[in-house]
Amino acid sequence: KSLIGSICQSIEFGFTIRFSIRMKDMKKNDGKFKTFSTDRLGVSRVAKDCLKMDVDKVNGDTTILSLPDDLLWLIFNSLTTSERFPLAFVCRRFRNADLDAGGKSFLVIDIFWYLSKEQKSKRDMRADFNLIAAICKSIAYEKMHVYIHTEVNSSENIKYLTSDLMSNRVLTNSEVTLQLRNEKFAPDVQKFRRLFMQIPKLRRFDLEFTGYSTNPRYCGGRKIFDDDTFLHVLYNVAHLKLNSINLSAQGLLKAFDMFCEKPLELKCVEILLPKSDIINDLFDMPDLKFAIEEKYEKDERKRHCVLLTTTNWTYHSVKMGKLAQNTARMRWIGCEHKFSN
Amino acid sequence: MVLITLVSSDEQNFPVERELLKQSGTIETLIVNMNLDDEDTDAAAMPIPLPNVKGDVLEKVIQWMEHHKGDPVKEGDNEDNNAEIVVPQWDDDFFKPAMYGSKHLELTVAASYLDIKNLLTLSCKAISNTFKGKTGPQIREEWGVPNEFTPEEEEAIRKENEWSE
Repeated sequence: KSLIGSICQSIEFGFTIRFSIRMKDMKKNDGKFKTFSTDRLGVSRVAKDCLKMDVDKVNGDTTILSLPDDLLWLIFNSLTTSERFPLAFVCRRFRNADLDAGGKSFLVIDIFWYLSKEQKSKRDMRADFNLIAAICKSIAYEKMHVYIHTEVNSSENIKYLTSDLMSNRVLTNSEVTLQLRNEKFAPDVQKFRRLFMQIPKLRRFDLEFTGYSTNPRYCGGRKIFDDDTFLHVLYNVAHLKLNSINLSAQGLLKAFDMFCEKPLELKCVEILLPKSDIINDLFDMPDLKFAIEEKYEKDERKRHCVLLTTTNWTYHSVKMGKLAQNTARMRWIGCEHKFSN
Repeated sequence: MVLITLVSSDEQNFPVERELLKQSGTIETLIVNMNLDDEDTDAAAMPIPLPNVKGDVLEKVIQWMEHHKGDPVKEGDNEDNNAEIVVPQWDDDFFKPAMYGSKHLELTVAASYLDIKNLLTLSCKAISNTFKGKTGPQIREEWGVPNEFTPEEEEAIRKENEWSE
């Protein structure tokens, strides 16, 4: 029976991974990119192959197949992603080594894991996540988007997966978006805190917990980012966007201080804070260094750092960074001690 | 000129100029650990055994090191990984006769074992250059790799890659 017929049904995976590659790498249509995904038969097969760990051992003469994996990786890595496509046709060993070698560089990796109705009871999240981690192992990316929608207590599994997807890579120029949706279980505060305390240097990190709350935009993950966790993440991430955070006024002030110390183009922060008195507390602080202005200032060049706040019935939206276009009706606080230069 | 004796797996002795061996991280470490650089150590009396390298391969390695004497030794991985590595003409000529056979591969393995970074980089690059512009079956034929894919599987892989064409 052919491999393809029996094991390559993408339905088996129940998740989708999309890889996008720059056409530039393929030497045509500079700047555009193409996408392929696990919906495609072939990539599902790759996923299966990469779990098959046995390596063909060749006795006697040294052949290219008797090279250890790390040498094959070294050889493959000096080729571009598109130059490496033919390697998949050579043999299974090449195929797996090519996949494991890393250095394959994709513009975007999108990962969707969700439960369809008929799969609800059957899915093994841990096994799926291990597979996803194996597929993405040492694949470089500029942007990664992970969407996970579950109804079980999944903090432990998500912690391992995201840590796998982010560790042992250089991500200083990469953007990571995590969207975690769970209607039944709130995220485990301690587990996620430990995860985020290990976050590597990132260009952008965008985290959204949804589901566990009547308010879809604001949820039970809010306790994860206390002052310490937030300041640690802010230190490592250039552009930070979070919806699950609960700072003290001092924490927010410290964060803004840290923000002001960096060159403006390097940092940008957007957070949603639960509606509380935190912003008022901030303004009431006796040693506040920031001038508060409520009118809309058109000439953004006058301001080097701004802390913007808008408020609706349930949260404060706090932004630190350059004023975006069309920011009318936002209240903002200028960083006074930076005005002079 | 201080000579240090390397002994291959098949017990051949190769007296090699001390200076050359700086290119090999593995041997350099051994020299330092055995204090062979000390003036009161008789380096000639202390051969270095290399049980993982055959004589004919070691001979090629030494030949390569002699040509590259004085080249800067790469440190760490700080280099720009995106920079295209170019195999110089001399090295290309040096590798070519043994390419596709076990000798070049053994040289590559030895470079890895002896931690001769420039040799490893260039010999790997020379191998990867043979893949460029080739199809899977062509690579298979040139490197003598048996075809283990069924036609159906080949078709599936083709499908997987067709988006890239």
